[in-house]
Amino acid sequence: VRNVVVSGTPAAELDFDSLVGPHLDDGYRTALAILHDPDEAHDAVQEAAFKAWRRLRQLRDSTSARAWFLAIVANQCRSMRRTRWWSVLRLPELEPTVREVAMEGPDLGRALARLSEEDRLALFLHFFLDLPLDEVGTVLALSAAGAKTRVYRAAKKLRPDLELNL
Amino acid sequence: MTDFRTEIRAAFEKEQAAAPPPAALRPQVVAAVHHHARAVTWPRPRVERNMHWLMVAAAALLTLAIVAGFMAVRNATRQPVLLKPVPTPEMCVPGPTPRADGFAQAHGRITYRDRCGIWALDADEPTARSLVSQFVAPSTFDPPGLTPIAWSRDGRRLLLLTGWPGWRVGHLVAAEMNLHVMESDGTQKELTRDGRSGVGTFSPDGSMVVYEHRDLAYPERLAGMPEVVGSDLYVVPVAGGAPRLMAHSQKGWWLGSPAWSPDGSHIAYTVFKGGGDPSPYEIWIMKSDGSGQRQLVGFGTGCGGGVCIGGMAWSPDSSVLAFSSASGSATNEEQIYLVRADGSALRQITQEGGSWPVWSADGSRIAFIRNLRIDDAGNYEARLYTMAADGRDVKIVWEAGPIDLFTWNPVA
Repeated sequence: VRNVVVSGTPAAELDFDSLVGPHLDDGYRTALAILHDPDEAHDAVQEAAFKAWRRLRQLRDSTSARAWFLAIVANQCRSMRRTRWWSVLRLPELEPTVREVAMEGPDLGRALARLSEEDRLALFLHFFLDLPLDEVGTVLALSAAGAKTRVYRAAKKLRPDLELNL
Repeated sequence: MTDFRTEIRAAFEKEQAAAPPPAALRPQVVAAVHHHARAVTWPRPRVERNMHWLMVAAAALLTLAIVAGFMAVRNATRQPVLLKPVPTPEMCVPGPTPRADGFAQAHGRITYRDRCGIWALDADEPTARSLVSQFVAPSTFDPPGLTPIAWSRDGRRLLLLTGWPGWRVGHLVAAEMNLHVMESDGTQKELTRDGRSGVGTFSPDGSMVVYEHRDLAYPERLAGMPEVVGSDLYVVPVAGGAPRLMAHSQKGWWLGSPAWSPDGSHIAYTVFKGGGDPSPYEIWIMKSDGSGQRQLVGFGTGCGGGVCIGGMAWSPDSSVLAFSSASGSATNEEQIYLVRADGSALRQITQEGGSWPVWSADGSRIAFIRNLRIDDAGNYEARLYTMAADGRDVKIVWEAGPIDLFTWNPVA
């Protein structure tokens, strides 16, 4: 990450595209992993992109643009589900959704589904998006050591006898 | 290790393959951001200096003054809108420490939680809040920690709800939730453990808790994953013991928001009769031993999704029920209603949104949640308000961060 930009200029547009653009797909995948709904994931990425634009000054040379943007996406997803986490929302249609049709593996799929979203996201970031632990920590607002512990504990919940070298 | 990595990656790949990123995601998002940025922040090209600029500036200032005046009048007569920057989320840095005073600091005060702990604040002086209990380690996710949802009548026991989004309902996710009780000496214990609890309230003597309990099914189409298909009402002794079924859900019925009347005679609750077309939702009442279950008010049929009805709360004299419903709203916006305990005099008391009504100790005011605009981008977050029991005199109480559930200590 070079040339941290001043938002509101044509140069900022180019830099935004080059800094954040490559990570939009990963942002969508992360949002999908949290929200389990393609439309909501798309909305979350769009909102996160707006917020990233407004906060572009926060990006420093030492910061991974990917981890920085994914952290904004994760926060956006939390915000979207915050309002009614305690309540059961009943909708007219009960259509199978992404997570329902995808988690066909009876063992690991079910175990993953039963994990807390916090643990699940840690595993998703590290094992699916291949984020190094320090970047997982950036997304989850943890230290690298904290992220390592989170990933390790989440994996042990899936496979208690697992020998995991992180 | 390699097998595990491959296996877990494959599981996530299955999920992701069902809805891959749209091909045009990047150009769409970037274009939208550029459009937004130009509209909001970019300076207009400088016009050539000439004698017309003074007239243009004067006209612009006049227009601004008119608009500002109009907005000021409008805001003064409508719900408060936050015009100052939202404070940054509080960090869990060393601050006030909880006082071991048997909850005396919380008497008569509204009790809520944020990322760091459980707080008590005076509805009239919200800045003078005090810490009731501190979370050991703040979570990076919502909902963190324990959320206070009800006090016992003597103000010596606090009912808390904790949970994580986990179970599927329609295409949304319900939380895996459990109930906890915190005693006035600071001790705390888990009241339910199966993750299927919902909101609840204490019996008047504080010895029992009535709560909603979700029914799960494991339909084949979900490949063994659980789905919430309804809810029953249970009571559980605070001192320990097995929960007892109070009201059983018929197929597709959702019994919720049980509220024990302060005089101990009745329990009011909501019933959503799902699975049919139409799907009516009603207020029911039963005696405190579970007998005499009957409909009190038939409220509506269908509310376009969302929370059709919920947030039941008795007035301190057990004469009036407050609740919230999205009935009749095209946008699923909830409003607060009152109805007398005999089912008469049903009336709506908010016009601009409200949910989770909670009565003050003397019954003169009702605290509730309403969405507040928090920035210029049109984002809203839930904030805490109070109003007189007739719906007038609406005041914002706490605007420094989102509040989802809360309770109001009944000790005057």
